[in-house]
Amino acid sequence: MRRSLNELYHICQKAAEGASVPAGLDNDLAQGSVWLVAREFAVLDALCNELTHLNGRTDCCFSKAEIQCETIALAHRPGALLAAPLVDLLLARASDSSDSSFGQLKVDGLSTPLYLAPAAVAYAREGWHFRFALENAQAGPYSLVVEPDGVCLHAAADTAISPLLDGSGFTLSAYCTREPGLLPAASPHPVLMSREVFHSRAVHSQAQGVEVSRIAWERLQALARKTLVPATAQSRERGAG
Amino acid sequence: MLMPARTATQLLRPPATVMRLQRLGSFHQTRLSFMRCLLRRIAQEDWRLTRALFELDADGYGTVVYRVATPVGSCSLVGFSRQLDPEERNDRVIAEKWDATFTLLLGEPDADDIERLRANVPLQEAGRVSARECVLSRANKSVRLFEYVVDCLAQGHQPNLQDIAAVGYLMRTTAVYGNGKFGLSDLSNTFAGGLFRRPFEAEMLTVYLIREFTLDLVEHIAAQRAPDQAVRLAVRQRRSFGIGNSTGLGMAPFLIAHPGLFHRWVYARETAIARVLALPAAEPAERAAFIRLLKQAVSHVAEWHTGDSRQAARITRLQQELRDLSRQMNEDGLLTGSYPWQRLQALAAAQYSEEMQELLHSLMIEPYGELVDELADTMADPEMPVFNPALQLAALCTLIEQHYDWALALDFTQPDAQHFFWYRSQEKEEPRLGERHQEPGADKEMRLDIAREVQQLYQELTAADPTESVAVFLLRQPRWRYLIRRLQLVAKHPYAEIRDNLLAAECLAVDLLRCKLSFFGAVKFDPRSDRWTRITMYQGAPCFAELKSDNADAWVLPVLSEDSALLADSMG
Repeated sequence: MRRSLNELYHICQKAAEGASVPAGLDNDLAQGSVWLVAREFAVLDALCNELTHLNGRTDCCFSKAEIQCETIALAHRPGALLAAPLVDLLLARASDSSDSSFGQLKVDGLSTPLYLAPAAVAYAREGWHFRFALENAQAGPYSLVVEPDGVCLHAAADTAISPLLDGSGFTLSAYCTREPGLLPAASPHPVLMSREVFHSRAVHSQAQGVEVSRIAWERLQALARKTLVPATAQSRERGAG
Repeated sequence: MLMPARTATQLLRPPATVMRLQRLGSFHQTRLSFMRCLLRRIAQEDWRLTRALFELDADGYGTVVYRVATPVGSCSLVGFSRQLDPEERNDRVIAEKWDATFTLLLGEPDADDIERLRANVPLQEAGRVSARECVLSRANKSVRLFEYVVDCLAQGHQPNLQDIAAVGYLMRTTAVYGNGKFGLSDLSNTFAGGLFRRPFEAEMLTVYLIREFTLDLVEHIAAQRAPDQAVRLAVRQRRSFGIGNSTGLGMAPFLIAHPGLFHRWVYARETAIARVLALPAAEPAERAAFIRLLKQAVSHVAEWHTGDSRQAARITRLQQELRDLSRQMNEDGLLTGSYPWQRLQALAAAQYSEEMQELLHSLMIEPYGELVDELADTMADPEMPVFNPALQLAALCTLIEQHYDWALALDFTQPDAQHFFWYRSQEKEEPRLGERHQEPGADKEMRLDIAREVQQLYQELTAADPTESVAVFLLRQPRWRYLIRRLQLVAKHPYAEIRDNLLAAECLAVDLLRCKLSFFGAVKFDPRSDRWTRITMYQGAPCFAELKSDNADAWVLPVLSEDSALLADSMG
């Protein structure tokens, strides 16, 4: 069934809330999911899987020591949920670097890494440039480029996109800066999905809504229902709407 | 009283004054309210309305299409009217049938569209619409007034204005949905075509067109009943009908959930007030316009009826204060000196209720369209400001101390401080208010407990490393992500936050409703409890065909009956 982007946002947010995703991360997750679905990436099954197996709030927490390691190990934590906080950390490191406004981050064990793109686009609109180099044992290397003027995905020839949607165990080398000349050299690999395709798909989805499978919707609804409170005689009597 | 010259920016009222719930719950329609802005735009751009389809039977049941042509495209209200048994007529959101249902479609519908919409629009939440439609709504008749008006017209005479004033509308809407609900066009898409560009503009047009439909409907039924003697509504009677609306808790969390947007609305309103306050003098025409409005306010308030004891007491006091100010205007020449609007504001702050103060603010900006109307274009949703993950915790603490001192001062150990909790009901997934110590569900509380959360966060921050960045803190403590993002937004948007504890026993949700509805342009707030209110929209407004630039704003504080007008006359 076709759904509006706003409908999709709200069901994803409530599903995340129902799965005990911390407040705020649920908004980021929903926003990221809508961004990806609007560009025809089928991420909802992977999202439902991550939410269903989520161990409440503890799965999203790190210790100070973990954060200070040269490479942050996610150790089966959900990648879709952690994309936004990891991009925040990358940006904080860039802001901390007094001379060059250059930040970098290494992560091990990342799943559903395409969520990095929507997490970075809001900052890119403010003039930040991002490179995300990704690979795992089965796929890659990929290079996800998020610039003020759009998003672009590079990969070796004959590489599929699907591992970025539902794969796990990726290693990530991430960079961001306000000065594009500081970034590592551009990917030698061909374009797997161009800025123009990212953009045209988004425009189409904004005008037409997006197709969401009944199964995915029902899985999200089942999680979202956990946020609802049954009516009581007292609430019926006093409530209104 | 000597007033120093100050700029409009200096005269902006502080959020600590404006953003209190009781004051927000005292707001009235202004010329920046969305209905007012829409009618000005229709007149300025010369929008045209045609009745493209009017297939109703003798009882007024069937299908209608109203087409609106504008310089940047067209849209159409598609409506379905049906028979409804009295026991099925229910204004609450749990209703499943209505007297009439509507959708606003971008462009013009063809026969297939109408069939598709006929199968879905009458079902409302249980149906599906498409991205071609941008608003979904429904309305129920005010049966007693509806039948009375049809009888009058069928008998060849006009309905009595006092009888109209007692109710004020032929139909009342019970929901007006937009922004992607039930498959509707997303707001970004609705705005993309350029036809709509301001907050709730499509929704406000829908309600205005529903009003046209209700007027055409009574005339049609009367003509069918008595073809030889039925008359059409006279202009004065037509204008006297607004559209009623019942609004409950479903709307209440909106102002908390959209802090950036809310800031824009309040900031525009406060800027308009401040621009007028900064004027060193009031020209004779402006003074005359204000005094005429003040007199009209007396009549208007005389027609403002409610069964709610709190609001009734406020209206009674408002009437006394309006009389008192009218007397002072006559005796003291209050507006003839320098900086007259600042002196009026100071007088009101010292002597009058918040209800009166905010009414005066609405009236003060009325004569100054050229000075303030452009602010209407600043009220749409802003780009969300980017989160600053590099901010250090020490700076975040300072930010809380600066902008949430009111929250830090609250005592949440008092039992009444956490009396309520907000939740979403399983019945229609609508927001509800529960009593924490009597009802289940507090474990699924919605995020409206901002003040309490700020206190808890502040305690955690003061125990953390002050040089740590927000990004690192949130990887350790992700539960604060929503709140910290909000704090950063509020620091840049000072009118974004309501500075009261929304969990407190004394919190009146109806104040939230009134605030939002005043920005829509509603009048005659009639709280039916502390949780829902009836209002009237577009009462007194010119109908579409007579709308011109010189009358588009001429419906502020409508007065319906002769008696009310006489009351004002008796006060000089």
